[in-house]
Amino acid sequence: MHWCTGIPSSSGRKDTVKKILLVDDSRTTLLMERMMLEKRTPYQCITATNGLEAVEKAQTETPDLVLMDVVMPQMNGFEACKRIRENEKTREIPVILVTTRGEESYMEAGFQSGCNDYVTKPINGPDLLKLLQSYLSE
Amino acid sequence: MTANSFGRSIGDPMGSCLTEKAGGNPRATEDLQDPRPDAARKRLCECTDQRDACEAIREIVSNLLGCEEMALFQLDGKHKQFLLIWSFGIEPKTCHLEELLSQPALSVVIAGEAYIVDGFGETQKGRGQHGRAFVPIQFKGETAAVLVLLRLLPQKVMIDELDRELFAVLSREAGKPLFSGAPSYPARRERKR
Repeated sequence: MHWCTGIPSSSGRKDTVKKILLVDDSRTTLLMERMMLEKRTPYQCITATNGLEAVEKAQTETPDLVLMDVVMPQMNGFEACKRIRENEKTREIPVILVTTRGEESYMEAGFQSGCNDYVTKPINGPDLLKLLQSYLSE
Repeated sequence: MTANSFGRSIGDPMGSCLTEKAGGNPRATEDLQDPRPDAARKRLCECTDQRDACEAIREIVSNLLGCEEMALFQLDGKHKQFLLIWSFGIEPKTCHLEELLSQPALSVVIAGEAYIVDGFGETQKGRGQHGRAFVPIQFKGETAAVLVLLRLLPQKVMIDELDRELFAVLSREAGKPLFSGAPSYPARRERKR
C-alpha cells in the first residue's frame, strides 16, 4: 500500500506526484474512484462532472491522465476526448474512458475519439489500479 | 452508545459509514481491496432526502453493481402489497411482484436477506430473461421497502461476494435517507440515460 504523496524517497529525492483528472456526473463513481486512488496510490486527484469542465481542467491543470465517463450532461466523454486531442497543450495526455456501455460500436466510437483505453462499468478496483499504473509508472 | 438490531453503532452516523463491514466477514472489503461497498455506504450516508437517496441508489446499482433496470417499492405493514416509490429504466409491472408476495421469497426478504431468482447474476449463458433480485430496504429494524433489480449489464458476468456486500449496504443504509423525516414525493419513473 502506498501513502507517499510528496514524501521524499529513500534516495532523498522528492517524488513527483502524478495528477489524475476524474470525470463523471455520478457522485458515487467519483467518490469510489477518489477513495480508491487516495487510499492506495500516491496520485493526486482532481475532479470534473461533465465533459466541458473536463476539457477546461485538462488545460488548466495539465493532469498526467484523464479517467472519464462517457454519458454525461453538457458534453459527453467522446466529444471531450476529441477536444483534449485537438489542443496542443493536452493532446499527449492519456485518456481512459469509462462507461456502462460495453457494445462494440461504443468502443469503436471511443477509440475514434482518441482515447487510449476503454473500461466498462462496474469498475473492478484492483484491475483499474493496474491499468492506471501501467500509464503512470516511470 | 447503543447498538440497533443490525449491530450498527448509533450516535456516530458518519464515522460508522466508513468503518462498518457487512455480513459475517468484517474484513471482506479490506481484504479484497475494492472500495465499492465503502463508497456506497458513504454516498448513502450523505443523502439529504428521499430524492437524493433514490439517485444514490440508482448510481450505486448502475455504476458499482452493473444493473440499469430497477424499481423501489414500499411495503405495507401487513406485507400484502407494494407501493411504487420510484423506478428507473423499466416499467414497474415487469417486476413480477406476485412472485415476491409468495413464499419463500417474501419470508426471505422480510427477514432482511436479498432474494435472487431465475438466473440473475449467474453466467451469461444461463441468465434468464426474467432474472431478478429483490433487495430488502431496512428501516427501524424492519423491511420497509424492496428494491427490485432486473437484467444485469451484458459485461457483468456474475454476482460475486462484493456485489452481495453491496446488497447488504443498500439494505442497511438506504432506509434512513428514504424514510426518516424527509417528505416523500409522488411515484415517478425515469428512463435510462
